[in-house]
Amino acid sequence: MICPSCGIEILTGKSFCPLCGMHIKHLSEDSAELRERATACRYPEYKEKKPDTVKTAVFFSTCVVSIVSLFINYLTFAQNHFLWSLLVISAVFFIYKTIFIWTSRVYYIGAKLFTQFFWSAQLMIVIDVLTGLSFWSFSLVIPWFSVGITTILTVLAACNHKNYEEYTGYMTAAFFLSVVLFIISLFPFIRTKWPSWAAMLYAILTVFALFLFSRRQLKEELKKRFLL
Amino acid sequence: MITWYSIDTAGKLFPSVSSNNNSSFFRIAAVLKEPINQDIFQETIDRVRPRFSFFFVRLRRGTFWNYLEENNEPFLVQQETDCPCTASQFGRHDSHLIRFLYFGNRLSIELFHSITDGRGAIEFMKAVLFTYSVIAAERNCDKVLPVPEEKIVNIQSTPVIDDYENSFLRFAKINKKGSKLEIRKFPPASYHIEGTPAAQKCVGVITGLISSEQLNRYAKSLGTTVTGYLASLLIYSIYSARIKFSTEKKPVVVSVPVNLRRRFPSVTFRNFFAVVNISFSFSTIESENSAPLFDTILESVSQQLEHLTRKENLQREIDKNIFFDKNRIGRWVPLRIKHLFVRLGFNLFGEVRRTITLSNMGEIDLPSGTAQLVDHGEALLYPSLKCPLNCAVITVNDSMSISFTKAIEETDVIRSFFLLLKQQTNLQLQVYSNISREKV
Repeated sequence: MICPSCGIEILTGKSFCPLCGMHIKHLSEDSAELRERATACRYPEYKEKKPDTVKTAVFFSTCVVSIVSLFINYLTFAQNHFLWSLLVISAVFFIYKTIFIWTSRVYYIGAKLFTQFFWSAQLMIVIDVLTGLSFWSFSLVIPWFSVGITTILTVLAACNHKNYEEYTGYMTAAFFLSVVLFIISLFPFIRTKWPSWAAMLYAILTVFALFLFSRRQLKEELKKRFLL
Repeated sequence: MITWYSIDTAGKLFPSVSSNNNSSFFRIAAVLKEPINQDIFQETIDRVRPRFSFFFVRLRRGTFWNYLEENNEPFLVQQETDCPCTASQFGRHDSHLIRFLYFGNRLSIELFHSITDGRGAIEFMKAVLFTYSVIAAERNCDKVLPVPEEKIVNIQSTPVIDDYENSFLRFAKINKKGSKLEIRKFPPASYHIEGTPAAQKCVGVITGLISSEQLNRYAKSLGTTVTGYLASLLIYSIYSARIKFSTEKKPVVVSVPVNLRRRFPSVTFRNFFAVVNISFSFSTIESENSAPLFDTILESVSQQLEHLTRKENLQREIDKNIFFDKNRIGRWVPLRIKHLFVRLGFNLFGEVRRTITLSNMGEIDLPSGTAQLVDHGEALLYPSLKCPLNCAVITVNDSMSISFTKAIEETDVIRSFFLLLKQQTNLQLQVYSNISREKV
């Protein structure tokens, strides 16, 4: 049919012109060929996207808890000189991210573990800073997290031999993480050095085992991950 | 062993800039004369998959670059239920960079821009349509099967390195050590089409069908090409619908992707295109200029197109692309940081400096046995926040389809374009759309 406003032939089963929105009438004199072409050109009625209300509600609750605790902390700061609200904010965001990481279908297991590691590490650092900054987070907790992540990846690689090369990329990343922790432990403010060094030794042994038990594909795996 | 591919120079941009508002998925579709048979379509995909295995991949993150990894998950054809060119969530096991959709008579393939460009997609679509017609003929027990011609990729052959080579690297003339690049002054920000964001963020499509041969003849009579004519008409439509009623001084910039395979002998299915920006500023037109406005635009656009698509200028575009790829410092920047800079650069120097993209993908040249199954083709470009209106052109069987994709509710520019096209050429024009609400 022809839109009376635009003067252009419109192929549609609907009663309006897509160019101007004007009502158009289907004419009986429209040829069968034209009607057939209009049917061929039709699109589906798209399903409406439902908003992710659960995710939004969890995020909103996280923000509410953070803002309210910050507000109360501000009002009571004269009586108690402790920034406990920062601790609450870090903790609720840690919980929020943990839920998000483990319910999301987006990430690979290695990526999930690493994201979890970084959020756990930031929570430990915040607690450390708020409780007097004795660097226990760097000297004790984070190195053990690093050992934990390397162990989990090793177990996964051993159990799922089909995806061995997939995990080796993440294990190599875990090795570099322990190198960073080792370098941090060399600074004088880190008094307890042995956990970082143990984590480093553990990572070296793991990577050694990795190469020893790997197939030829490992080289290719590393090449694609570090492609330059 | 899982096969992997590095992403070509142009394709590296898209993983960084893609989002819900800029999906980087484009669509090539064919509207057949008969409804699509799901079983035949699925069998078609299963048959062509080994030959085009480099398209059946997933996007993975490396330390310094993204890369493509063979995806062994099944690729199932799906009935179309979502809006065209929707974004994908990468990193999921089932996230594909290529989608096979059907609805009624429409067979659509949506591709993420990192794996191929328009020309590569057309070659793939040709192989799919040909195989579909062969299987349909086999099932109908037809005595005469469509004959494969040279213009169709033989799906019995095996992929070769040339199929997925990064042709930018082959044809770049940049000195690897010195990497000298002519630094040109960045053009000013362009005029932007603004409007009410589309409901549900659904991409609206309005397609016009016109005779390719007659439009070609008309464009030639004006001393230009179809692309030159359509780009001029687009600029004039934007002027008629928007700029005429405002005090806007910024130039209208039409980005035209150019297939580099025509000037540089490459058979790659990966990205090998350059983008040339055709600019027209209405503030520079003198009021006493007696020539009609459209003629002035047409002359300027034709000259710019002719100049910018010369081999030496396209060579410069290749070198410019490769400069950022080969930059020694940039290569060692971790991917996460690279993403931030690429996104920033794209918003500052890419999106801000173009009004609309016009991609003439050319012709889907099919063997006669297959061509008779197809009514017409469609090509859809994804819109973005800054460029909420884009246009793609494709031709099958003398039927040229000019499809606008929009992320805004307003249709004034599109209406103006089709009215002018009808008025000027006086050719038969048929328009259809996916818009389902009356308020446009």
